[in-house]
Amino acid sequence: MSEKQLILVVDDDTDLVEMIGMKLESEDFQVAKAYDGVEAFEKIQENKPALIILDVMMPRKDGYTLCDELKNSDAYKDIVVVLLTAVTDAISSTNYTHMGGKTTLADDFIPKPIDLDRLMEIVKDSL
Amino acid sequence: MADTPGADARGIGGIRLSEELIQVDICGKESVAVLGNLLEFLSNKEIPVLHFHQGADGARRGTSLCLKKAASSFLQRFLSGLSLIEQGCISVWPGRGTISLFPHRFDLAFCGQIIWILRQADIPLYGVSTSVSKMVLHTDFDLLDTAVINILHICQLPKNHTPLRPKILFGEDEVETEAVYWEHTIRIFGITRDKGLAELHCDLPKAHLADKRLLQFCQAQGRFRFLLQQNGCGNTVYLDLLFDGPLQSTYLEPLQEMAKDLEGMDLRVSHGREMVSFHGPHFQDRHGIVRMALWRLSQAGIVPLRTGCTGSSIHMVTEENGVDEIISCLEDVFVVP
Repeated sequence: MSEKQLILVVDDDTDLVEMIGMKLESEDFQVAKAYDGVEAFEKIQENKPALIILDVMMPRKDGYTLCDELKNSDAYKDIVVVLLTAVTDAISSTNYTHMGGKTTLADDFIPKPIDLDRLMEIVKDSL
Repeated sequence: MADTPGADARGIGGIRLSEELIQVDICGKESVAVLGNLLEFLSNKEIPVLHFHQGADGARRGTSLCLKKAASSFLQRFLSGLSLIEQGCISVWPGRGTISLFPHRFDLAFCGQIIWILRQADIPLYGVSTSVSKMVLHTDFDLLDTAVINILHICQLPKNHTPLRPKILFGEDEVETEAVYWEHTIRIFGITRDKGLAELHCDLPKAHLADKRLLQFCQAQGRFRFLLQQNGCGNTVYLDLLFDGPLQSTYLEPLQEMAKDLEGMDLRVSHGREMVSFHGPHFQDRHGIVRMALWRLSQAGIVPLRTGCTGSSIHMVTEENGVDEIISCLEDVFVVP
């Protein structure tokens, strides 16, 4: 019997984490949850996931920083990282700074509000 | 801050404390018009409604919403434009705050224990509601830390849990995440519909939210779908709970015993209830969402029995066959891309 693959879902939107988690579990994945980048890194160290679904704007450590730390680490660079990105063209005025021009090492992106079915396609294609 | 939880403390993912809020309660004869005008005013001033509870049947008819403290001066401006009769419909309570616990895992025993322990500690509850993940309790802002201390007698946070008052960092900079933007068509990530639900209505005196028999019921019943507690006029609390399928009569026995003993307690069960949920994201960042939804429904003559919005999702409870009507009515208000 094959072991279920572990996916870590990281977002400070707890309802989104729960909905993604329920969808993943229905597709027979094992799910871990974290609500910011620091907690996420601790969970990764405890139990290395196959894939991380990772929000960008979060308390304590943002998704770009965590992604870069993982991809620059021998121990964790093989973890697939799917970033959840805000759809900036819909926002008329914000007061957060874009990290313009910064390239990230994420394996894939999906814009918010996410299409859960599309997210499952990305997850299955990536693993 | 926390005492060490007991051996059977329940692990939770996190606790979040709000900033200081204003709670606005609206009930009475002119309440529909006053609410409509208030929501339009708030939307025009780009002020998001952070939490929203509404009951529409019988004694539960009324609305409670929360705004940031910074909206206070705008609110005063709105109130000064009301007639005396209209002003009589609206009560404003500054100094409020919310505690969000997550995830609740639809565990009614957990929710019951939280309510019980806070009431045992004389912490007032001005409203309680749930979303897919969170249980949100409304209380006095200056009691939030005390509430957490009590909650941590029966709950355990992860070792390096997310902060109770999180600040969003982008790189090393603290940023404001609220875009405060408006969309004509509100993009969300999901709509769920639940049918064939049972709803328990429990009207009871406020002091008896800490009654052990209520806790016994919660522990026996196990799983729930949605919880909404609103304060009524005077001393009454309205507690509405949604469940999958019919309720076991044996589980209701502690509550039936309470109802026999307590004057002013009423207990009823309704069947064939439905619930539609519109899921996020970030309703708290965006103004006009509640107004758009309710205005469109009111134009169609649709009034959900109960509406709860904790900031990430909106839940509406209806009678049988109501959910499809609501989804159809709101199909160009909420869209899943």
